[in-house]
Amino acid sequence: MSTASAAGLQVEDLTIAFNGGATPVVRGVSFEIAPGEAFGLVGESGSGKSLTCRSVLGLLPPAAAVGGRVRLGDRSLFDLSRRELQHVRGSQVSMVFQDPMTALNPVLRVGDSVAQVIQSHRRVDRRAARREAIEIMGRVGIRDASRRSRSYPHEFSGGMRQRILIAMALASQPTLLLADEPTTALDVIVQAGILRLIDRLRREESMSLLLVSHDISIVAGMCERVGVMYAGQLVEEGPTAEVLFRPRHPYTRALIESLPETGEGPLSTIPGAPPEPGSFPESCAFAPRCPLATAECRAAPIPLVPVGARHVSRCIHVDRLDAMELVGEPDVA
Amino acid sequence: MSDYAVKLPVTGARAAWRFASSPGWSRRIGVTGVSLLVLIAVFAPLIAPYKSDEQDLATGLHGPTWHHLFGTDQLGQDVFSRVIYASRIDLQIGIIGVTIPFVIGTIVGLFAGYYGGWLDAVIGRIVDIFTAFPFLVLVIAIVAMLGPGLRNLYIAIAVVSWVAYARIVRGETLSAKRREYVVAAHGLGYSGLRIMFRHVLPNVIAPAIVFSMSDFVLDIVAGASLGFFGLGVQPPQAEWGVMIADGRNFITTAPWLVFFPGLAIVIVGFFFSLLGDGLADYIRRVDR
Repeated sequence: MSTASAAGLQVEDLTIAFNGGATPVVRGVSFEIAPGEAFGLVGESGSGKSLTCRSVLGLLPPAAAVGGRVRLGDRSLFDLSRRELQHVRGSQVSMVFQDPMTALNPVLRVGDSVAQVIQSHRRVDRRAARREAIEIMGRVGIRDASRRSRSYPHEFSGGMRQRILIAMALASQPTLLLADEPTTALDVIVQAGILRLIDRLRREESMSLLLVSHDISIVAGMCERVGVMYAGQLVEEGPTAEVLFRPRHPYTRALIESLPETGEGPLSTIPGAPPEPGSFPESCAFAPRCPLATAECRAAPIPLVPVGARHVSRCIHVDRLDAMELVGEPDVA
Repeated sequence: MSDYAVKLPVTGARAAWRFASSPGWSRRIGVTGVSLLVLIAVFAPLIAPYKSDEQDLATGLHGPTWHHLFGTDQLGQDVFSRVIYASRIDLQIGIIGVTIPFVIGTIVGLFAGYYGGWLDAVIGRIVDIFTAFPFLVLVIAIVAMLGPGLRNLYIAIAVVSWVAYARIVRGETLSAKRREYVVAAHGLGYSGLRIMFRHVLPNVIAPAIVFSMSDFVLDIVAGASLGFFGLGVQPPQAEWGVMIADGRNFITTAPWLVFFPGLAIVIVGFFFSLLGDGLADYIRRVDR
């Protein structure tokens, strides 16, 4: 079933702003996903990771002003006609949405939702589309798929609905799968199952994957490369193992160290709060929360600099990073 | 979309049955009452003891008796039979008066809400113009221009009352088009028409259906009013409004001439309102 030519994704200097450009939310983000590669985008709420993901499919709200370029293979996605974009959306790039409770049409039977994807982009008759839909539903782990295909979304649990959304995404046989926090709305046990499913299907179909998550541990298990976003910018990007075990940006390190560990004392946090969109500084946005920050950090924009093989960081104090005491204890009020 | 056209009536029938058999007294009374009214209209020739225009001048202006349950009018016509026969015309006015504006208004509202921009602005202004006039005044004005008769009444109702449906559906569409499953439908590369009719429409139609129940009553009242003014159904055809108009000269001596047709209008209004209320309740419950 795998499509012959897996195309890579290139995001170049992507900017997204609201209020006629007055409120930038994504600022010059560039990264590349090789064909068949899994790329993770990590960051807090409001860091711009979801918008970055949605911009690939042109699914931003109408008020958003977009700049830069997104290329799929050799096509620039922002320059496509409406018809071409429809074609890309349905047959090359698919998206798994964050909240399975709202992303399924409540009045369509789930089997019809999946079959519709197949029918709308390929010339197949209804019965064949339905058969294929049931087959795909089986592949995403829905038992007794032919019977369950006649159910409505409200008869399904969150995890099952997410499987339906994944089935819909797969039905168009995409070369690139976008997953925008696909497990955030699910409980932990279901989460693991969904992630394993996405991971397995990606390998089977040799799709590229852009996985967006606020949870760096989810990305760590599934992606070859990872980008860390803060205040609308990439602050670090590189191979997952390197970023995870040798982070080259104080924010990444803080993020990793504030992961909960079992049996260890109180949970560590990063002091302070990220800046609000609209008040992102030109200089290092993390400086106010960073123990390494100097006057230089607050003076001018910090460029992304190479810190290893295909590994970049937006920090000028990389050399002092290993020695720093970064994460504070939480204030007990 | 052809597939949808085939499936819609089946789904509709199933949904209607599920609604009719769901508990709730107002709902049951409404469903039963409206079904009865429809049966009466369909089987009018079997129920009515006399023909609607059967005259017997010898027995004119008699009060209710066992022979003439609702009495007779000045021409000796059986009021009971005429009220029964009139239900055919009046329900027809309701059905046609709802269906045409419903379809037009829903489609217009869907386009306005979905595409927005100048299209929405233009449609919005047109809707405002129509809304500025009272419903009945506008209908009477249009019929007065086109000339009396049932066909012109339907045209007048269609011209005036589509705006109500357009407004309801537009509002619902505005909120529905931001919902995640509509965004997801865009993400799947569906065409605008497909998204509008398969993903938005089924999710915005319910309030319009609920409104159509009270609109039904409104149309019958409009039909009766125009009949009363001599602008609607023309005698000797039996229609409740015409019957009331004809009987008003005898209101002190033969009140049954206006009482029973008036009662019929009230009963229709009562049952359809219950049905509408029940429908609204039901939809709220299903939504949750």
